[in-house]
Amino acid sequence: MIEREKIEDLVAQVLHVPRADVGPGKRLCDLAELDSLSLVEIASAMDDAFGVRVPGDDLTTLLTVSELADLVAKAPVR
Amino acid sequence: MRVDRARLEAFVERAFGDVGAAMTASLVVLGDRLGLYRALASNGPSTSAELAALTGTSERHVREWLRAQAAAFYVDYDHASGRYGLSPEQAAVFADDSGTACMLGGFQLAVAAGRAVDRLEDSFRSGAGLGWHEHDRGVSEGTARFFRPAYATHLVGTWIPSLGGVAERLERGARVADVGCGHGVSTMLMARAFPASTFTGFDDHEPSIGAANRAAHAAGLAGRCRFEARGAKDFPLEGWDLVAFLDCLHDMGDPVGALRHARRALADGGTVMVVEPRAGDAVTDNLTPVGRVYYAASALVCTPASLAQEVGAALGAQAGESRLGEVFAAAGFGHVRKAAETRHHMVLEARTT
Repeated sequence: MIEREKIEDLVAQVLHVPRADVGPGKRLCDLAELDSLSLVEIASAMDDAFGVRVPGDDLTTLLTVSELADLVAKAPVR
Repeated sequence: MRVDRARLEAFVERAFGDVGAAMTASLVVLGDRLGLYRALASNGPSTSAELAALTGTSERHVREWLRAQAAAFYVDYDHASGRYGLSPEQAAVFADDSGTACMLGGFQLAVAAGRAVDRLEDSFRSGAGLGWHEHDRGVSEGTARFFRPAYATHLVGTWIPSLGGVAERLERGARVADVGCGHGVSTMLMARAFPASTFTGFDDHEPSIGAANRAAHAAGLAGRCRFEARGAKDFPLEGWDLVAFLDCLHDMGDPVGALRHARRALADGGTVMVVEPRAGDAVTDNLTPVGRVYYAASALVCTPASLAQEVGAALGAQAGESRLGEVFAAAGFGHVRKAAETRHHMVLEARTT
């Protein structure tokens, strides 16, 4: 659960949206007008914070915060 | 008018910079093919000997490649350690093929398209066309990779939701034709996002259809996502809920005939989505860095391709909304709506009712 909050912080910061707008069920594409570079920023921040790879062909725009948290939970510990 | 010394110097300098860019383009393709960027990204700052050992390449060739990359600022060089490395931004552009900042496809397309220069010289003199199948294979593969970042970013998150009722229909279960699908990048993105729907990609370029079928199989999508080698005017009239054309209508010899066929192929209440490069109606609107890429690709590939086909409408890659509207009207669509605009693309929507 701590990680979900950390992910919500990260998403709010990278997409420049108010923290209160970011909830577990929100899809990235519903939060802000995404461009291809914001997806790279999200992927890079996820890698930095959790060592998790979010590939661009994984339909990143449709991912919700919950799904990002699932990716972290499923990732091998390193 | 006399030459102005200062303006001449500035222009020569700019052109010289472009010579450097053009020469570097082939080296980017080499770095991609040989895995040099990927090895630099995963190994961190490396000497030429380390990079050569990692990639099974010859050190002396790699040393010169690295120097050229450093001069282009595509790779960072640290003089003290003699190591070359990629910043996170350089890695995103050159070392991550699945990422949405990747530019490798653009370089692959540019270099591969340039191989047709002798045949294009003949075409320019005779007026004959040059089809996609007559180009180096890197043209179709490079194009697929070039557009993938924009499709991964916008197709299912922005473009489809901008169409009236289409996302809901695809969520319930619908039949989609992706016309001019090439390697099927767009088709597979849609298929993954809408698991209740079925997707068929059509393209008359058989090698691309082969690559698309292999990719769909590898992605485990083969049951709902298939590809057939058929042109835009001879895919089955089977009541499609959505007929999509992504960055391909302008390549077609007969775009009016293609849209007319699509109109007849729609199910009741079905939608045609045409995604085209975002461009203004006037040439001057498109004299920009992005417009430069699209006009060049259009002169090398798209326009010759259209001229090689029946009718030979040759819309060009930056036809603009007005001209495209005329094409829709000629195909019998009463109303066309610009549903969305993103950085490089515009989305046009038409329906029968």
